[in-house]
This record gives sequence, C-alpha cells and structure tokens, in this order.
Amino acid sequence: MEEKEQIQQHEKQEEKNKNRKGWGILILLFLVVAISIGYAALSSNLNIGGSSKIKGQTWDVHFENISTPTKVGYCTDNGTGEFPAKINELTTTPSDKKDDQNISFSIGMKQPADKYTFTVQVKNSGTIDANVKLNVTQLTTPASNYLNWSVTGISTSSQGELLTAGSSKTVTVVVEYKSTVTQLPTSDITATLAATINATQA
Amino acid sequence: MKLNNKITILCLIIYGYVLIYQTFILSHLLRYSDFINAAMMIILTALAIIFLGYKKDNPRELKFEIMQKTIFLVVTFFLISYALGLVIGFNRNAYSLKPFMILRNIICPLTILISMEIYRYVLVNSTNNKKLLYFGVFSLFIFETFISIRVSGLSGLLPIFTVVTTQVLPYLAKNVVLSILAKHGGMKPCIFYRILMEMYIYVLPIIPNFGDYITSMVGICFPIILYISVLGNINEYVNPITNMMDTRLLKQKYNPFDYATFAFLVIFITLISGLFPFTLVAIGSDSMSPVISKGDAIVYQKVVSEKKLKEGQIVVYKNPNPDKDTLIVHRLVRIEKTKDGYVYRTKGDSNNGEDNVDLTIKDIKGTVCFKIKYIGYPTLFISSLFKKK
Repeated sequence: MEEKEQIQQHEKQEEKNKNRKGWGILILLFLVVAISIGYAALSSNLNIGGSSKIKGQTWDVHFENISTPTKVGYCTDNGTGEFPAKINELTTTPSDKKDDQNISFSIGMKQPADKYTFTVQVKNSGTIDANVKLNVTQLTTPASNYLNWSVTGISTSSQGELLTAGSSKTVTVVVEYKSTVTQLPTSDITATLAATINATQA
Repeated sequence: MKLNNKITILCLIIYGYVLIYQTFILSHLLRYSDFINAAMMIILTALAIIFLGYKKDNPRELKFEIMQKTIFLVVTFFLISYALGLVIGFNRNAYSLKPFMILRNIICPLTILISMEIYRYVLVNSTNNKKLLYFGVFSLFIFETFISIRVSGLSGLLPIFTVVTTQVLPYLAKNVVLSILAKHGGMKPCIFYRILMEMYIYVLPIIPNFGDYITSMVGICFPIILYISVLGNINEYVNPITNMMDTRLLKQKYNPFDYATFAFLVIFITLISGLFPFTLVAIGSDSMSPVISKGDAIVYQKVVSEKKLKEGQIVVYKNPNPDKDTLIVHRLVRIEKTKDGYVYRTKGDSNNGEDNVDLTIKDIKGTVCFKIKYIGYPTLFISSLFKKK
C-alpha cells in the first residue's frame, strides 16, 4: 500500500513537472514568434543584423553639422570639387557607421587677408564618455610664410579633454592668407593641412 | 518583526530607490550613477542578511550537477557565438582594454552582480511562501531593469519595443531562472553565469556583431534553455525515485518534442535574422499575384554572383531610391550587358509595365526559393501599426 501511494505521488509530481516544462516551452515559442514578427515589421528591409550596441552601451563619437564656410576675399574651389568642406564616411558597413570619418576641403586663395572659416561639431552620441584630443599638423615652409591655419575648440594637450555622453563640442577651422604678407609668391604653393581628433574612452 | 514584513520592506526600498534613480539620479548625478547603484545594492544585501539571515551553502550533489550544466551551457554559448561571428562579423569593443580601465569599467557592474546574487540567495532561501518569493524576485527584476534604462528617453513605439525586447524581457527571463537556480543550486551557479554572460563585454577585444534581434533572442531563450536543462536534475532531487520504484518507473528521459522545438527555434530565428544565406520576408502587396500574394512570406537565398541570375527568376531587391527603403519581390524580365556590368530589369507579374529602375548586382539581395502562404500577415499588421504611429 505504502509503495502504491509512493508511486502515485511520484507520478503526480512527474505530471506537474511535465506541465511546467510544457509551459516553459510554450512561453518560449510564443515570445520568439511575437518578437520576430515585431522586428520583421520594424525593419522594412529586414536588415536587423549589425549594430554598435553592446548591452545598452554605445560608442559613437563622430562629426556632424558642418557649417557653410564663411569666406573673406577671394576663396574658390581649387578644382577638386571639395569646396565647401564636407564630412566623408570612410566605411560603408552599418556596423561601423560613423566610426571612421574625415573632413576634406580644398580652397584656392589669391591675396593677403583671404580667409576661409567653417565649424563642425564633434558629437558624442553614445553612452560612454570620451576623452578627445586634437593634433594639428603645423604648416611647413614655404606655405607657413603665407598661411595661418588653426583648429580650435578641443584641447591639444596630451591629456585631452572630456566629452561626456550626449554632449558635443564645436571645432572651428580657420585658414587665412596672412594679411602681413608683402611679397607674394612667384608660383602656386600647395599646402596640406591635417588635423586629427583622437577619441578614446574617458 | 515578521518575516513577511521584512521582505516587503526590502522590496519597497528597492521600488523607492528605482523611482529616485529615474527621477533624480539620472538627471543630476549621472556620472556617479554606477557607484550609487553599487552602493545601494551592497546596502540592500547587508540588510537582507541582517533581516533574513544567511544560510550557509550545504554541498549537495544537485548543486554540483546544476553548476556542471551551467558551465557547459555558457561555454557552449561562447563557442557558438564566436563561431557565428566568423560568418556575421565582429564589432570592436567599445570599452578601453587597458588593465586599469578594465578594472575601472568592471568594478561597479561586478559589485552589483555579486551583491544581487547574494541578495537573491538569501531571499529565496528565507521563505517558502510563493507570493513573497514572486514579490521579492520581481523587485530584483525591477531594480536591474530600471537602472539600465532611462524611462524619460523612451518616446515612440520603436524605442519602447527595442528596450522591451533587448532588456526588459531578457532581464525577466534571467531573474526568474536564476532565482530557481539559487533555490536549488546555491548562489555559485548564478554568480558564475552572470559573470561570464555579462562581464565579457569589458574584457574581450571583439564582440560578435549580432544586432538587436539576435541579442534579444539570446537574452530571452538562453535562460529558459538553462532552466529546461536543469529541470530534470531538480525533479530527480525533489522527487526521487527510490530503489523499490526505479525499475518500474524508468521512463524515456529524452522527449523528441524538445528536439523538434529546439530545431524549429533555431531555423526560425536564423531565417528572420537575415544574417545567414536564407532569409524570410513578408509580402506587402499583390504585385506578384497569383504566384505570390499579399500576406504570404517568401524565403530567399542571398545572391553574391551575377552568374546565378537568370531571366524569369523571382528576385528580391532593395529599392535604389534612398527615400523608399523597402525590399521588392518581382520577376527578372531582362538582363542587359553594359560596359559597367550587367543591368537588370524587373516586373511584377500583375503589373502592366516593367519597374522603373535599372538594377545592378549590388541592389539584388537574392532569389526566391519558396513561399509560405499567409504567415506574413502578422508582420504586415504590426508594420501598419508602427507606420500609423
């Protein structure tokens, strides 16, 4: 009798456990199908792979809102089609969006006091604070005899400065034909201006 | 004070803290939020130990088996994820990997994690009252969810859907399953599980590029799979077969339905994700009727080479017009060779004329393999709701 009762109890418990397992599987199936339908509906081209998100944290420091340049005097397209300045995306894969960018511009200047200025924002759209540092390449002769150029708005010190998540800094780029120049160059001078903004986790 | 009241007070402290966190800490003390959360969790754990008492982990065969299964599943998860990463690609880790920075990044989440699991262990082993247990476990879920999201930043159906599927539901599944593990297997499997599943993002240089959909699927399914896998061990311990009974009560341990369910889930998620050669798409119009109708779904195979494309095939292409970000399923009617490569012209079977686009191989996503009637309707319905919003 005792053994029969034990068997009955055991079978009852087994039945309960089977039900629990069955419910677990049903809930899992329902959630998978429901969420899949939701994601399929969200993405009109079903491109739901690839993301820069990691557990709700994102790293996204990028350039945006480049301004129309202000010009003083004679500043024209240098024939390369890169006037005014523009932001170039260096990668095309969605997973690397806005990760690699540069800004290019090409201008021709003719006389002292010609000036070309534009601004661009460095935006931290992610959730991780960034430390940003600016490196500006100095002009070399003969260009340095005729041109001044500056990039300001972000610290050039080795420690850099903090760009908190959600904030942005405005960087101003100025290229100027020195107004103090009295002896003009006898031939065209090409100057390569380069600056980099290094962003790492703060 | 009665045990019920103590547990209730602890839960109410959590709810109150979450409210303060969302309304005040996020807006005024964001930079210190990680430290505040860690401190709060340490205080709560200390209060739980003082109020509810700490029962020492007694070594048991069940605990060992649960730990074994947890280790096996987590290691398998990593092997499969990183193998899949070779196919779908990796993301660079967003966090700095300098040793000091790793330590700095890890210290708060690790403190919260370990404190939470000690709190959970103390809570689930303090009472057998189911309602109290559910209340307590729910409070832990609320804590973990609402320190990870900013409620005020959720505007619109899409962000809410993303947060619910990538964070809320995975946290719920994880908290329920870990509470069961803590009750029967102690806190060690829970701590082990969470450290491996949550801390790797701070130390590994590359992370598989899964995206929101796969992340939500893994977050929801993996804890449930862990639960199903340890359920047998828990049952055997709670409801043991004695020597007298075992020869008569040995039943088939492995149910083919489980394997079929698992296979269905894997195939379904793979098709929906779009990360693999075969993808499932819902059809939103009758332009290809009667062959393919609105509400049907088609499975297409990704095309990488122009040699695979022939006139008469039904293809899936992305509208080259950037203002119309949609996939179109039409028949390939003409292939023209130009000096820059091939140009493709398509037409819907029930349309009067050809589509007004010249396609290149880059625009064509794949060729249709087969259709499944009607299963696209739920997607179309939800899509229309999103568009209305």
